Amino acid sequence: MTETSTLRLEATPAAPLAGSGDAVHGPAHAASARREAAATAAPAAKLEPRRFEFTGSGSEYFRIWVVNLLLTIVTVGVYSAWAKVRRLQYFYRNTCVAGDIFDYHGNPKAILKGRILALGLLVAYKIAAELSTFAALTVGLVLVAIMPWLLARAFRFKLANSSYRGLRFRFHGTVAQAYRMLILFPVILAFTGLFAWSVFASFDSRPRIGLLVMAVVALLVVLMATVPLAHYLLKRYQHDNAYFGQSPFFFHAGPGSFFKVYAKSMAVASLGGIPVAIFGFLTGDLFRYLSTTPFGWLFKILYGMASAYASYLVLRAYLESRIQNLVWNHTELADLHFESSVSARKLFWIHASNLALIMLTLGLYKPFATVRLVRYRLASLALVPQGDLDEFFSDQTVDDAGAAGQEAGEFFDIDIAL
Amino acid sequence: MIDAIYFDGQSTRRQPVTVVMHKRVVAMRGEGVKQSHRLSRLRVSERLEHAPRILYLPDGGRIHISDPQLDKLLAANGYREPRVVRWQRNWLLSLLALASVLTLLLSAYQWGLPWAADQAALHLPASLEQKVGDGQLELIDASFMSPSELDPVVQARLTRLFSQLKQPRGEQTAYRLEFRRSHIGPNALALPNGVIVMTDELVKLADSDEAVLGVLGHELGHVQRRHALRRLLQALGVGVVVNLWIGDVSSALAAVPALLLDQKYSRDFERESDQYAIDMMQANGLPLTPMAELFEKMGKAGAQRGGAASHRHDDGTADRRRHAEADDEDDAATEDEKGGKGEAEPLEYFSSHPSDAERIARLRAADAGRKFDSKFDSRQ
Repeated sequence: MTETSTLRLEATPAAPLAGSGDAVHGPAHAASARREAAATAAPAAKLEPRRFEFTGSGSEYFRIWVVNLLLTIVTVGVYSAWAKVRRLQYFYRNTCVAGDIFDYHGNPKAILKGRILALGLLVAYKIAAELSTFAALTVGLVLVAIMPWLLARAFRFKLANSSYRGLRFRFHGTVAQAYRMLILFPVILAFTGLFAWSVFASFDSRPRIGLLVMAVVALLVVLMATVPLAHYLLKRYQHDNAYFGQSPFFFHAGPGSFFKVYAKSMAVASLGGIPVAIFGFLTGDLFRYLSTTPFGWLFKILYGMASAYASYLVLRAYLESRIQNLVWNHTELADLHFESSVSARKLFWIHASNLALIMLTLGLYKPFATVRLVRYRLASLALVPQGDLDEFFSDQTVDDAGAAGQEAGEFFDIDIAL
Repeated sequence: MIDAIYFDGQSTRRQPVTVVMHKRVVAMRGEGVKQSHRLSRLRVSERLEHAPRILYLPDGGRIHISDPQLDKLLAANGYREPRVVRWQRNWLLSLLALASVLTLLLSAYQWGLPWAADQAALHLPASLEQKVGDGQLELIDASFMSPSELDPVVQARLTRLFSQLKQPRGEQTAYRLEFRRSHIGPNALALPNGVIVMTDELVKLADSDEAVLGVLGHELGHVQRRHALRRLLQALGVGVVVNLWIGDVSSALAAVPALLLDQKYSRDFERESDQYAIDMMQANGLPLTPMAELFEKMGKAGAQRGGAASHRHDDGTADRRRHAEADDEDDAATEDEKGGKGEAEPLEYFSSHPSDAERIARLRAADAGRKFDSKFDSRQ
């Protein structure tokens, strides 16, 4: 892996072509042609944003999904690595901007290796959780300790296997950086959690209300302080270390804007409580009646989950849209920048209706739901070129990013959207 | 001749080219680009309805082709789409795949998972069950049981009587009987470590020792068949599959279908344990009618607890507690709370136990046409 600690502001077209020994076709003349093209194209800067677009369809993805599912089941999960490559290829190759598509090149065998590792970790954790809290805690701590490493590997694998116009992306974030930037959050959280837990545990029969409140408040304060910061550090690590060919991405949002988004979403969440309370007041009688029926317990569980889920969906839609906008509006690639305008309301509608349809169809709507979400999210993203999109060059270093981290990372549900 | 875009793999420069394919050779020509390759040396991307196809050149360059004619050209030059791709593109075959998936999932639920859990339970070390059970006993003692207030003489008698009973097939299942006062009414449960917890309330409610022995036989059935561990494993399996199926939606919401699906396994185990109790009592020449009567009484006791509305409310919370535990996954103890489900029969799919009527009828049927000499009528 190459150490590229200095950020290059310009893509330097000087020495990109030294690599691959096959000088038979193309490359030799391409350099000069490119320089000419750059010279002529640069003044005619096109400033209108080029929208991202998703061209795939739910019905086509449905068939891919079903076949993937069957083969995965029949091979007891082994095929899932190939299925993943097929799925990602479908989504990448249907993602189009400025007339060209993305592509995915992940090697299924590498992904399979990662999946086996992830499964091992998960099983270890599950078994430990069954045995004792101490064992679970130990395994949990080990997982937290290796998580930054896994994440670094996952980002590397994902980007190194993505390409646009025949040029690969790459990720140069180091594992050491990952530890510096990402370990803070889990450590602080773990300690606060331990503190809150010990307060609870020491008063298990008759808790003193003051201490309980203190423990909860402490937990909340730490969450409020660390979550936005951790999110910021993660995004910075992810976006500031990414390259397209040899051109670096820049991430120039500050932690302050993350705090602002989180504070606003807290406000949204508490405001969202008002309609929920009104609804609860209006349907109180109906609820009381339904809970006396023989399967009232089921109804109560469903009601509780539905109301909890409704507020979660509102919060999630808000947070997701604002974070995506924040992150992409503050990300640049050489002299290009991005525009993101996801609307929280539309995202909420998509999430909620997707969920309802998935429930109604017992899961069969899932592929359509996925396509719908991706289509909307991509449609709200645009690329604003300052010059010519032809001016990116390859970095000839070979990046053999392993799949291990990628898979383990996804398995533990920390795959970061977009 | 079809139009295409060539990328050299060294830059993002788009170079319009024309592509000709003849005799399994692909030739590409454009401004300053002229290449030809044997088709067999190229990698061809999968065919998608709305995305261009990509021909990957051996040197890292690639050609993007949107022209629909490409498919015909490829076919004419001997390129065969991979089987999976042909499958995906065919609606009929994909629907067939869907039907197969559903069939597989249903049979796995009906037979596969119970079988696998049974096998796994046989091969997992006993120390695992021991630890899980010890943990559950601690939890139970901490949250809804307190030390027994039952007369030690009665405790000793029940323990002795039960230990003297022959197990149905002469097996020597190890168990340990524990008495507890319960905060949740008459109940008995079996833990994975072989501990059978009997509540004072149940003993008091029973008219005869036979009834208690029957319930103990039922719980021993859970122990003998390792139901607790098997149910734990089955719940894990159901959870994994449900998560795969609708997982990205929400793992919290996926818990509901998983919980409902788990109920069938619970009912199956209850039936199996009822049968074990029947076998055991019959092997010892004991009647099952007292156990049936005990169940009837428990049902009635539940129905009488307070006014109709409030008692149902109680049930709700008790039941909810039970399901909350099942949700926690760490408590697969099969509780036999018969705290009354009200007069109306609950919908079977939502219930962790077979209906009272079904169980009572079965127990009574077991006694039909048999005669018993009353062994333990000297009850204090």
